[in-house]
Amino acid sequence: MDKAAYMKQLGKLLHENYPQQQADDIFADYEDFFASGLAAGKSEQELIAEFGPPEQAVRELNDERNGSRTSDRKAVSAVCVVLAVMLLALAALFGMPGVFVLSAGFVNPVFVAEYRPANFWLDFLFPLALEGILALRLRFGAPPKPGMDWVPRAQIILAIPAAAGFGWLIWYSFHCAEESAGQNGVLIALQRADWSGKLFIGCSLLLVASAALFLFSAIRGHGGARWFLFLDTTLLTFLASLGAMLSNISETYDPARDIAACLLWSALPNLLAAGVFLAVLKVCEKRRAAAWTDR
Amino acid sequence: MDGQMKKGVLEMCILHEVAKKETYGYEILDVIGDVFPGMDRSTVYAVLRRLNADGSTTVRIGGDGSGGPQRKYYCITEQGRAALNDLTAEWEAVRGAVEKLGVCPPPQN
Repeated sequence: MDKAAYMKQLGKLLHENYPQQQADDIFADYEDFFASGLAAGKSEQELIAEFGPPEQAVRELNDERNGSRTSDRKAVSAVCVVLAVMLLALAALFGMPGVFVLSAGFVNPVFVAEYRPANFWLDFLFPLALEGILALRLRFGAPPKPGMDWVPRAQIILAIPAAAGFGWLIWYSFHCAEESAGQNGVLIALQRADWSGKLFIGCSLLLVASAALFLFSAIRGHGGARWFLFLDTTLLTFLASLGAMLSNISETYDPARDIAACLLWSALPNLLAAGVFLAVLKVCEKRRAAAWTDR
Repeated sequence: MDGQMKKGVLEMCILHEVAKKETYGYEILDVIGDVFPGMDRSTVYAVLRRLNADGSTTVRIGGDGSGGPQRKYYCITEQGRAALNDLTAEWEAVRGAVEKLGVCPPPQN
């Protein structure tokens, strides 16, 4: 690591943890330390070794600001893990389709009941609460465990073929409307069909694996994949409602309208949750900037 | 460096350096870093920054009069002086107790 890489990493971490003004101030201090150190005849490598890694620097700053210690941070992490597990259990209990896909029989249409309006609020509250817990864990919990940095990236890579599978599923919905109008249990027929059924199951498995990886990395303290939570829950609820729709095809089935409804009912609560979460974050940041009068 | 005692000692040393004369960030980090070789200078900076936020020190931005670069110069406040006195008294008491027990021998004069 040279000075440029060090400062780049430091700047990134500072902007994640501090309001603009303070991040810039700390950054300028480090620029000055490097300039002074180089002027005193030290090499970039020597100075970097003396300062310690940027992650450590930001953690020390946070600890001094919050007055918290490592043991407190570990306790916060543990509490957040317990809260996240409780939330998953609770959501499964209430039968939120998205969470059923994640936790229980992933495409069992018996589990995935008809899309009820109450699920809107569950689909809205679940990602919001989970993201809140993860935000707390990232901010006040123990520092991220080193290694396994590939997890957030793997999660994103997994979600891409899963999303592609949806394209096929939507095509199949149109296709099967002509063939099986008036028939029930198209989804079961679909699952029994050889390659197409495997594709459907494969696609849901990929999505579940992606969500599981996300949770794993977030619980370990990696912030990177956090913003994909809303996308993950949207895809999961979409998969669940599409599955429910396909297993309840009747004469009134209209693929264009029904798929649009599935999309709307899965995207809307999750988008709303993402919006509320972002707004809360912004307000917190404003208040923090106002309360923290460090110069 | 972990633990409240080390943080307290570090606080005392930083306040002592700033109390001696108006000084700039890198100089403080360098002096303290040299006597605590196992410690990251980022730790010293974090404590210095908190001391400044608490009002134990104040910052003046300016040059050193020799046409050098503009820097943040730290100087001690009344509050900082009081904190330094408290910390020093505490340290003396701890050192006295440790020496009395013979955990580490008193310095030879």
